Formats: sequence, C-alpha cells, structure tokens
Amino acid sequence: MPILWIALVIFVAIEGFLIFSMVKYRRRPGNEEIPKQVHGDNRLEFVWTVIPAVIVLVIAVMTFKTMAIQAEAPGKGALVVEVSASQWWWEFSYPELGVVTANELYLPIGQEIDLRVRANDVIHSFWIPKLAGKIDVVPGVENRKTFVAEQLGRYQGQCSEFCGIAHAQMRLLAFVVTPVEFEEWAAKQLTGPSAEAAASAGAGVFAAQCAACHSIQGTAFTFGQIGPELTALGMRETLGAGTVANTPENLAAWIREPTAVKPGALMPELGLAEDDISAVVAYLEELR
Amino acid sequence: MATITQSLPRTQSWRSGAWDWITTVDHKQIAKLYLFAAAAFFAIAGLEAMLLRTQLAVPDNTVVDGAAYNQLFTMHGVSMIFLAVMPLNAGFFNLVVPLQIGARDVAFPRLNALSFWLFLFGGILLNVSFFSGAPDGGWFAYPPLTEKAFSPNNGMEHWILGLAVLGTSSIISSINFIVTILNLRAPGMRLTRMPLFTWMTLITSFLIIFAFPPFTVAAILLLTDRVVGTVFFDASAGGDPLLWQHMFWFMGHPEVYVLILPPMGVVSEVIPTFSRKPLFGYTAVVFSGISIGFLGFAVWAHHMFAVGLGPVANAVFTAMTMLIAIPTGVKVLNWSATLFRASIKITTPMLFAVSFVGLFTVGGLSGMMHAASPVDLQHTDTYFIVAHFHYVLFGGSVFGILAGVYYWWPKLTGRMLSEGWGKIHWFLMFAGFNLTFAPMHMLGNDGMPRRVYTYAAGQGWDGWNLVATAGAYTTAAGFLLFVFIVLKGMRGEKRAGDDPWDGATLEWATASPPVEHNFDVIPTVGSNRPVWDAKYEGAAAPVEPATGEVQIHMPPPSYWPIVLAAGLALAAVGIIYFLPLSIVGLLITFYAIFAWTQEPTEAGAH
Repeated sequence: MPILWIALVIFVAIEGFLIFSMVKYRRRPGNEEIPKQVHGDNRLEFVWTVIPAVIVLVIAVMTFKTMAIQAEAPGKGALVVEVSASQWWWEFSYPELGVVTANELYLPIGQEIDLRVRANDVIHSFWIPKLAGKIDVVPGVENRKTFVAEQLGRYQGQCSEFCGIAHAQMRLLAFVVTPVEFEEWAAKQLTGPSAEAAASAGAGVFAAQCAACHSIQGTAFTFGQIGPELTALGMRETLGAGTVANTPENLAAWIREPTAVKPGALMPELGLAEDDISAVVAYLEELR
Repeated sequence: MATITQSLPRTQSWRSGAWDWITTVDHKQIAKLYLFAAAAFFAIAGLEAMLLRTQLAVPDNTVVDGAAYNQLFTMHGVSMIFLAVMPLNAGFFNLVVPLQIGARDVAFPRLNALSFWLFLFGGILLNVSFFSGAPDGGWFAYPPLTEKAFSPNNGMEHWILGLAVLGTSSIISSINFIVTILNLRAPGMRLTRMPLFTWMTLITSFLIIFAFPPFTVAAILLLTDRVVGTVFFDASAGGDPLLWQHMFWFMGHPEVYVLILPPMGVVSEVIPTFSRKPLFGYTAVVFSGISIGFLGFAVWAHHMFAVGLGPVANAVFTAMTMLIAIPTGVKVLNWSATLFRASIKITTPMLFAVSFVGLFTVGGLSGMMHAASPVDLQHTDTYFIVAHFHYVLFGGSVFGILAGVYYWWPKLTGRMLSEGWGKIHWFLMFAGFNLTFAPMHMLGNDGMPRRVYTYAAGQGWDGWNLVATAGAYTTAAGFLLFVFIVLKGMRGEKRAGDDPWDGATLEWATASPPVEHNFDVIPTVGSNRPVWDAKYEGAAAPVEPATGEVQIHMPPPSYWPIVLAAGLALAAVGIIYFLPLSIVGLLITFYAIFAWTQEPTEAGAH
C-alpha cells in the first residue's frame, strides 16, 4: 500500500528531526546565550503547506481510483447471497438455489458475488477481513457489496459493529470452494435427513421442542423463523456463530443451557430431559 | 441577602474552608476545582481501562463478562472524553486565559462557577449509573441498540441526561470564554498578539457552541424514543438509525478537535519557552488552528464509511478528511522548526510537549491512512482505530495536558513539582503508552475487532494483547507516581518564583500564586511576547509586580451557581426515577436564577 510508505517516510523524518534537535540543541550547563530569535519564514510556510497538499492530492487520486473499482455494480450472472443479521448470528440464503444456512458461508471461487445485507434488530457489520472489506448491516436499509473470492480456503469473519452482549461471539466462517464442491454442498443442503434419522426419537423431540423456532430444509420443519436455520447442521464446524466447536458434547451443553456456552444467547433454556437431549443431539448431528 | 461592601483578596490556600470552595467565583480557585474533579473522574476511567486490559490480556479470559465489559468500555470512553480531558482543558482555560490576557477574571465569574458545578453534577449523574446498570451502548450510543427494547435498564437515561447537563456546562463556559477573550484583553493585545493557548481556547469554544446543540437535540430525541415511545431511530416503525449517526458525529468529530486544540495550545507555549525562541510561524499556527476548526465540521461522515452512504459521499468525506492533514502538518512542522537552532532546556514539561509532537504525528499519519475510505473499510471498528485515536487523544491530548500541569503548576500554587520524579514519570508514561498502543496497530491489521470482551486463541493476537496489557500497567504505575508527585508538590517547600521558566507571556508577570485580582494595574502589551521583550529586548515592562496590597473590587462569592446546578441536576434525576422530582428541581432552578439576578455585584468599587 503506497500510503503506508508515504506515512513511514514522514514518520522517520519528523521523529528523526525531533530527536536530533533535542540532542543537538540541548542547553548545556552554564550556557546562557540567547539563540537567534527567528519568528518564522513565509517562504518556508508556503513550501510546507504546498508539499503536504501535493501529497494529499496524490493519495486522494489513488484512493478515488480504488473506490471507483470497488463501486462497480455486479454484472449479470453474479451469485446473489442474502445476508440477514440478528443478535448474535448470521443467516445466509441463496435465493437462486433455494438454500438457506447459518453462520457458515460457502462461496464458489472465481464467481462474482452480489452480497445483499439486512438487519433484523440492531446494527451489525459484515466483515471477513481477508475476503472482502466490511459493510454495515443497518435496519431498514439493504446494503450491497460486490466481490470475487479469488483463493480457495477457510476464512474467519466477525460482526464488527458493536451489537450487544455477545458481539464478541457473533463470528462467521466462509469457505471458498471449487464450483463443483459448491454444487455438491448446495445439493446436500436440499436433500434433508436420511429416512432413519427422520424416524428417530430425536426427530420427535425436535418437532415438539425446536421446530417452532428452527427450520430444517427437506423436512416438514420449515416454518421456524426465529432461530438459526439448522439444515445440515452436522456439516458445520462450529456452534453458536463460532463460539464453540461443533461436537455432540458442546451441542448437548448448548441445549441444556445456551447462555452457559454463549452468555447473552437469546435461545431459552428448554428444560429437556437428558434422554431427550441426547436424542435430539444425535438427530441434529446426523444432518449432513 | 448579604450585601458585601468590601471584598478583600482571599488567600490562595488549599486549606480554604468548604464554604469558600462552594461559593468561590475566582477563576483560579475554579481552575483548581476543575483540575481536581477531572483528575478524580480520570482515575475512575483509568481503572475502567485497567479492567478492560486485564480482561484482554489472554484469550478467553473471564475477569469480567460481556455485560460488564460493555459497561466498562462505554464508561471509559464517555468519561475520558467528557469528564476528564474536556474539563482538564477547561481547568487550564480558567487558570491561564485571564492571566495571559491580563484580565482580573473571566467576563462572567458566577457563570463560570455554574459551569463547574454543572460539570461536577453531570459527571456524578453519569457515574452513579453503575449502581443500577451503567450505559452499555458505547460512547457513540448507536440506536437501535440503545433503544429501550435492546437496552432496558436506566443506563442510557443516565448517559443522555448526564451528557445533556455536561453539554450545558460546556456551552455556558464556551460563551464565557469567548466573551472574556474578545472583550477583556489588556490594552495593546490585538488578536495577532494573543498567546497561542488563548487562541486555541477561543477556537475550541466556538467549536463547542456549534457542535453541542445539535447533539443535545439528538440525545433528547433518543430520550423521547426511550421514555415516551417516539420512533425517531426505530427502523421497524419508519425511523432512521442513520439519522442518529449523522447527528452524533456532527458533534463527535469536532469533539476530537475540542480535545486536541487546547493541548496544542499548551505545547505552543511550552516548546518556545524551553527553546528560548519565539514559536516559529505564529500566524501559520493560528490560522491552521482556525482551518482545523472549520474543516472539523465537514468530515463527520468518515466515521460512517461502512454504513452504505454510497461512493460519492464517501469520496467527498475522504477528500475533506485528507485536507485536515494539511493544517495539522503545518502545525507539526512549525513546532519542529521552533526547536531548530534553539537552546533547549530539557525539563519535564518540555519532555511531555515534545513527546506530544512525536506521538501526535503517529496518530496523524495513521489517521491519514484510514482517511482513504477503501483502507478504512478494513480498519474501521478494529484495534487499528483504537491505536490511532489513543495516539491522538492520549499521546496527544493527555501528554499535552501533563506538559501543562508541570508548566503552570508553579504559577497556580507557588510551588514547584519535582523535576527528578517528573522525568521518571515522563519515562514511565512514554514507555507505557507506546507499549500499550503501538501493538494495537498490529492487532488491527491482523483483524482484531474493537469492543469484543473476549477473543479465541490462535489468531495471532495473543502476544500483542499481552504486551498491550503490560504497557497499560506501566502507564498506571506512571499515574500513581504522578499522584505522589502532585501531593508532594502541594506540601513541598520548594518555592517557585514568579517566573520560574523564563516565560514570555503575561501570566509570568504576576505573583506565583497570583493575587486574587491577578494584577495591581492592568498590563499594557506591545508584542505577542510582552514579558520576554521586557526581559531581553529592552521593551517596557507590561506591568509592575503585583503586591496584593491595593484594594481592588472583585465579584463577591455566591452560592447561587451551585444551587442552580443542583436544581438542574435534580430535574434530570427526576426524569429517570420520579417525575415530581423534576418539577422540584426546575422550581429550584428558576428560584436560583431569580435570586442570582437580585444579588449585588457592584458593591464597593475601588
């Protein structure tokens, strides 16, 4: 970044001069001499007003060029991803594919992404540092960001606008994958649980206790809108928007007492029996 | 009502009785009140910072939980800005400005007392919120997070009303200082001969009276949202949360210059004094201060680059923000040029002042970097920003204020602060400050967001966080040493002369501490360095040394300012807890105004 180099040069020059002067011109004991009383120099003032002005102009032009590139509207064929932010988790939906998921975002490499962000409660900010700059998620406004993921990999992201108690744990993960992997992933999101899983005791617990808030695609439970989508939960790396690793133990702990895992989490304590917890954990972890 | 026929000069003693402190209208006593009350609030806000840094020392730490952390960082920011740096600056306005312009006091001494009491009560109103749940929405208090639905306790009401009271205090004091500076200058002191600190006070005062009223309106809109159910900032009912951001930052950005311009004034006094040279480019420094003041009102949306204002607005605010680099650069270069071929006496105030220039430069350069909105889209809301503004407001403002304390303490009290301990203090502060905040540049670049109470291990943030916390403890040790130095300076025997630093401006032409009426005879000024020119250039002395033996009429003490302030504070408390209290508070306020107008002020002219 050229701005950094300009800043470094100025930094070294100014700090160097301050230290030099403090050493070179320090008053030695017994020296009562009055230095020459220089009140200023208009030519010098002119020069060091104009030079910063020129530097500023150069930086401004470079900045505007970058801004123009970033401001380009998405082309046709861009993949639309709708981001919906709530305290303290993310929903990602791909309207063209019918896929909805939470907290872990999959993106095909090389394809232009047309990100549209909306907030459900307070202001959040969508930020994956190494993938794309940030865009605030403001209630009542749809903000958009266009970018292309250029390298395969796993990227960490985080809400970057202060949004309350669990702001620190409103994290997300993004996976940039090949187009083929992306299609496989999307297809899995739509298939739903295996017949065995659908008939398990856990499915019954889910229907009674969870489905009012959470949805799973490919099942009858697609009406819950309050909590995060749980489709293909078994495929996810973390629970609670990046709070803990996705293991059966952590999932059970979460269901037992959500705020013990993530202070502030809005999911209520359901008071489930331990048997029901194990059953529903087994059911959810089977979703993959 | 008492009629005072003759007010004798009061002794400037720390052991003045409580009643003297409560009723004083003497700008020097009010300066002491400001400095000590602000120091107390500074200590509270500093403790909050220590808790924050302790929590962040290691990943997944559990010293405080998220709820407590949010209250602590909110109160740390609000307190440092409104209860520490602003009133410390106000303390210096009070202490220095009337002396520098050769006046007997400020234009409205009782209003001055009112400003102080409003500040004290506003600060207490903010801090007592810890008992019922402190504000937890950040100092910026963005709705909807600060609406009742998401922040149900009374913390935000304390925030809104506390800041409303503090804003009233600041506006009153700004009007007072504008009138004082424009009307009470000594004969011969044209604006172009006015000392730099007084200049910066004048500019700051104008910034405050333009920035605070719109913010107060916004705060009251938020109050009605919370208390009576309006929906100004509630998007789900058609309100606009971004409206708050505009109104807030229209105050919030000029506020930065409110915090930094007075310390710039301090530095512009200290550096020339210990260089034995005039400030290089007096006119350029004054005009760059003025242009910073103007530009400061045209850059607020650079706090909002990520909210989706669109590329045109972002480009305009990028350009305006970059423009500010020019006058600030001019200031830095002029301070530096003052050192060139100087005879530099390395004293504690000088060390703090030169550190100010060096550290402020770092903050200015990092500011320049994220003035570019594409850079800012990565940096905003990360620790890079935390590093940036602490370099400006701590490395800048606080170091400047400390330079001012060491520089003017002898004038205020007649005693010196220890130079030996002072230099150790400076070293602890300088090392601790850089250890704390330099690593935050790296943390921000590595993607650590602000305002998180915890972070996971293994993201490359652990080491720098530990270093920053160690730096914070070093800084805290520096402040403890400073408390010791000040206590020593209050009792110590080392007497300061009237002009201990070989100064150039009028405050050095009166006694240390100054007599109550400042000068026996109003000085006459022939240059912008009247005292220096009398000592070294053969000019006539601006004034004979004050003896304190003449009888000069000074305004009598008054308790109506504190009564009025208490009435307003009570009215604010009533809005939060019990509405009839507000009515009582307002009745007290109005009665105090009435009684104030009936008080004799013209008794016993000299």
